[in-house]
Amino acid sequence: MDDLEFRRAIYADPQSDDPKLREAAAKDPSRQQFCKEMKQLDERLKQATKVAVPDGLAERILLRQSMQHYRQQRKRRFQWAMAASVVLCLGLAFNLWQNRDIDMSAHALAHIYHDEDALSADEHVTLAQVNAKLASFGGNFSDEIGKISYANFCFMDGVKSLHMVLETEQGKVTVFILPNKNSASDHPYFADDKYQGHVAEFSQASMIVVGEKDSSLATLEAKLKEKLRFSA
Amino acid sequence: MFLRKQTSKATVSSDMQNKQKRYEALVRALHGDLYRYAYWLIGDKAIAEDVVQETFLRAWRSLDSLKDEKAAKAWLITILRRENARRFERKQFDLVDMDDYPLKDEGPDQQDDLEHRELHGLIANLAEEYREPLVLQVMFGYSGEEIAEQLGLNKNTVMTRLFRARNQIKEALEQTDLSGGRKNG
Repeated sequence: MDDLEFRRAIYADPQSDDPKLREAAAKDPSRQQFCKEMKQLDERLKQATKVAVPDGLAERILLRQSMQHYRQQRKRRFQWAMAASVVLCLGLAFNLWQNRDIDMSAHALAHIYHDEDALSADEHVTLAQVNAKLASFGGNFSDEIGKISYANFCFMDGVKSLHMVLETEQGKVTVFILPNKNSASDHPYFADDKYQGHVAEFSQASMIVVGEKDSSLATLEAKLKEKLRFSA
Repeated sequence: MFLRKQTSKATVSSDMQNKQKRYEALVRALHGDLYRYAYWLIGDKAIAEDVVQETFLRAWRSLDSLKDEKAAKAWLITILRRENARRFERKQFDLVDMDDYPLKDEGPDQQDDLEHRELHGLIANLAEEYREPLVLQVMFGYSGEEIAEQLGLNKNTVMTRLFRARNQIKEALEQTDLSGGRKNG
């Protein structure tokens, strides 16, 4: 190992215990002297790097960490609360959406008031015409159901349904037939100041019969139910 | 079910306590070394302290990734160097070229120790690429391989830089000795 190489190696790492370096220094007092000087310089450098650490630094670090940890926990709690309320809202919305068609009776009444012309119309609709319309729900009346003064498609709460008006001994009776939305009505009987009605469920459709306040609809409804057939 | 919930909650909080204990031990054992390293890297006491605090906050967040306590110092140094780099990204206009601006001479507390102050100034005046490996070697006793790994350099580069660092210091010392000699003579 030549002198330059030796000095370079010692400069790079005076504390090195590389046997090659030790061997290279062993027979050479001036190299040993150089090593000693460099080790001394290194010790002085080490002392020089030991700058004073600010008082209380560890405590300040721990304080900041615990403050931040606390804030994060609060944040997490807030996020939990937000998540919980979102779930609650979704739950409520789902519930409302599910219950939407249970209130079909209200829609039926609203529709009757909205479309009062239908009650006074007299279009002499034939059973064939009614059955042609019913076919789109997969149903038909197997026999005459009495005088039909009005039959048309209408939309009830966004659902296409058949709106019929029958002339009966009980006066004009409105009948809605709409595709089933998989929900049995909780309150099949309903009424207001002027009308009363009943929702009847079939496997594929619902039928809502609405008549005047003091009319008796049971017989009519039974008759309609008997004649209304749905192809499976 | 309620009972089970309680036990799992208890485990979570004892995990938290363990983590906290581990963290406190880490802070107490290594904040001094980290601060000194930051000081030599940055050259400003206040900024060094800020960076050290940020480093330990970040360390708290990823403490679970530290598996081996022996690797803690190297792990923290890595975070600190990244934090320091981030500081430059944040305030690019504040970028200071260490090579052009010597470190503020906020020397050691023994103000009367002239030689100590001189060496402090000489280390501070080294270019960062020489200063950083030298500090790792002298202060922490890192080997060439360890420095190379920490700084992401190859070992030969590190050894060359260490050689140049000491060479510059030695030359500067000899010059002051000479000029001092002349003054006296």
